[in-house]
Amino acid sequence: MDATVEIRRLVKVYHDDTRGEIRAVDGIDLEVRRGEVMGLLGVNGAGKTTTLRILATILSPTSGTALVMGHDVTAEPEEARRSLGYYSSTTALYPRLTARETLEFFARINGYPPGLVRRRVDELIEGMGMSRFAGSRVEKLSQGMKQKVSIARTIVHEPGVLIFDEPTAWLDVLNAHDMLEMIRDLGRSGHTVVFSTHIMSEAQKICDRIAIIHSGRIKAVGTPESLMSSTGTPSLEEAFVRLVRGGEV
Amino acid sequence: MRSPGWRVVPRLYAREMRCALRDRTIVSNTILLPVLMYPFVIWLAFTVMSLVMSRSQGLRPEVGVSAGFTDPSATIAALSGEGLSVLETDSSTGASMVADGTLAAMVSPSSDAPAGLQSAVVLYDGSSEAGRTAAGRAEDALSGMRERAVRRLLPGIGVTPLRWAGFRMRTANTASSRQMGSFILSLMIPATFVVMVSVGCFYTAIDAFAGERERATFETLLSTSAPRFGIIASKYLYVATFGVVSGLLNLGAIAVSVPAMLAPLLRSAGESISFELGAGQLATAAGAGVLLALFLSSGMLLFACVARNFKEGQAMVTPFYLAAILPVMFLQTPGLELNPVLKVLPVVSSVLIMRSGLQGAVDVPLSLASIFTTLAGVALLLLAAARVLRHEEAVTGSFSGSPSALFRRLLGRTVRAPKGTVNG
Repeated sequence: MDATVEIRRLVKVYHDDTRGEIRAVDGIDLEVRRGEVMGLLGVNGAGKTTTLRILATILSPTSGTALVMGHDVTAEPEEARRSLGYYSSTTALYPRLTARETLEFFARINGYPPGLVRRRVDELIEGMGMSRFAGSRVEKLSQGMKQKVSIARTIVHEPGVLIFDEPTAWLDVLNAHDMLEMIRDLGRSGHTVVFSTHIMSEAQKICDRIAIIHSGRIKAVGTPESLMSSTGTPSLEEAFVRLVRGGEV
Repeated sequence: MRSPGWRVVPRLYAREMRCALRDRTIVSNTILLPVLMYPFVIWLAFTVMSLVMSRSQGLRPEVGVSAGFTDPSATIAALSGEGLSVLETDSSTGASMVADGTLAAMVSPSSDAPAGLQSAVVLYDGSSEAGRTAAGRAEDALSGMRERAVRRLLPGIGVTPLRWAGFRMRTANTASSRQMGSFILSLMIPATFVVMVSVGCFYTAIDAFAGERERATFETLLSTSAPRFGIIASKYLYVATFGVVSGLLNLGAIAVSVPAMLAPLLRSAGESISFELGAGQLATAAGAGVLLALFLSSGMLLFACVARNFKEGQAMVTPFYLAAILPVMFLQTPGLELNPVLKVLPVVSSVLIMRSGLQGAVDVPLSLASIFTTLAGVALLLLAAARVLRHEEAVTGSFSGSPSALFRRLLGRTVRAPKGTVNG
């Protein structure tokens, strides 16, 4: 079994004073294999972010299990977090640290061997073309530069699993394009990537498989082509609409 | 890779400190303000005092004098001699001129004086500076006239000036100039010290949680393998450090600026007071300051920990800040000392330890008991913060309603079914 992310009957219930009980995630089962780019495709409020936040151990599940590299996110949260890199459109960098300080900080607090931190950071700065601004504070960097630092921060401790929660939200077309390229490259370099989006073209472009999620439930899982053929639709968008409105496949 | 565990605390702490020291608001509020406040306040107070005095001395207010005094020319001469311009006029015109502000005061003989006794009335507008100055100078002039008149009469009734004086009184202060200085400092320092330590903790406590959430860095931090207790511990150390630094810098500024600025000014006014503090006094005051900072930072951290932005942070921390500094205003009372009741009140007991330390008279058993109760208070506040932050809605800021309502719910007795806890 080479699944690096395993989710079984995952449920997350919120209580709201006005709306009562909300089942944000309602019994999800999902496996993501080593080296695979898995897309979670769904509309806003479908349960994508809640699922990914549970994987990142920011939220705890109401019931069910989630394993990251074999570590239960509830029983071994620190081990699970050390095995993953989490990136979201809502996560930001410390503005008053330099790019280099940022990478060193995240490597160290994620338990990367202290003697290897400097080499690893140099390697990333060189490899991702950040030498020019490595000594500049993050607050002085352009959006594209910050994006590179954020990606580098996510992978600096060499996690096996990478989680990207709507990474292109708030980005302009060019930066979004670069972001998707970087995610695809990370997938090709052997990382397991779980990527959430509500944009069909993004999912189709970089994902090996896609899980369509709606109202906290997985409606279908498959390659973009298999989803289209199983629904008899010519595009992923139409496949998505049919699956969400017409039942499971 | 091994779990970083507690080893993560110094790394997180170093990051907090590095970012804070690069933040202008935090640096100016917690470092520059405590250092510069005392020299600036002392300089400002004496500059304003000098300006007011020189302005008052330069004033030559106009006063009216009506007819009817036994020796009108002597009265006018006495008033002129006190720096007043004199206008001879009748009582009712003078009263109208005082009312419309044309005259600063009006001096008239009193009509209701007993027979044989000369008496005067000084009419003035107490709401104007010229009126108050004129009235004061007129009173001095008339008192001088009275004293001179009495002395002229004494030989005629066989009384010598010495007998007339009756007896003379003088007081002798046994305190040394250094003891007086310590006493004055012990009344001056603690109140501002509490304010400075509070300011040092205030911004940093809000920045530690609300600032992180507002900058969207908190979720980034939560997604790392740093344990939650490590995050809370490092933030507490960060807030406490700035509280301690603020307080100690303030103490240092006082120790340097007060002797350098206040003592020469008092000496020029004829007072010889030494404001030099000994190493023991400074060490006790510093120790009490550290204790105070440890307590205030834990309290502020507790109230700031659920704030989602600076506005909420200020709303949550301000009541604690006021509750901490208000009792200190009453501690200005000289003679109030640490006692078995006050020793259990954390901020009050720290201030009283500091005050007694500055006066060189520390009650060691009571002070040790105060340290113990304050540290117990710190532990309770941090445990409460840890309890609040076990709830994911508190950590993620996803709760609806106000932070204070969340607090009541999470820490209150009638807690609803928990909404979930945070891993780690």
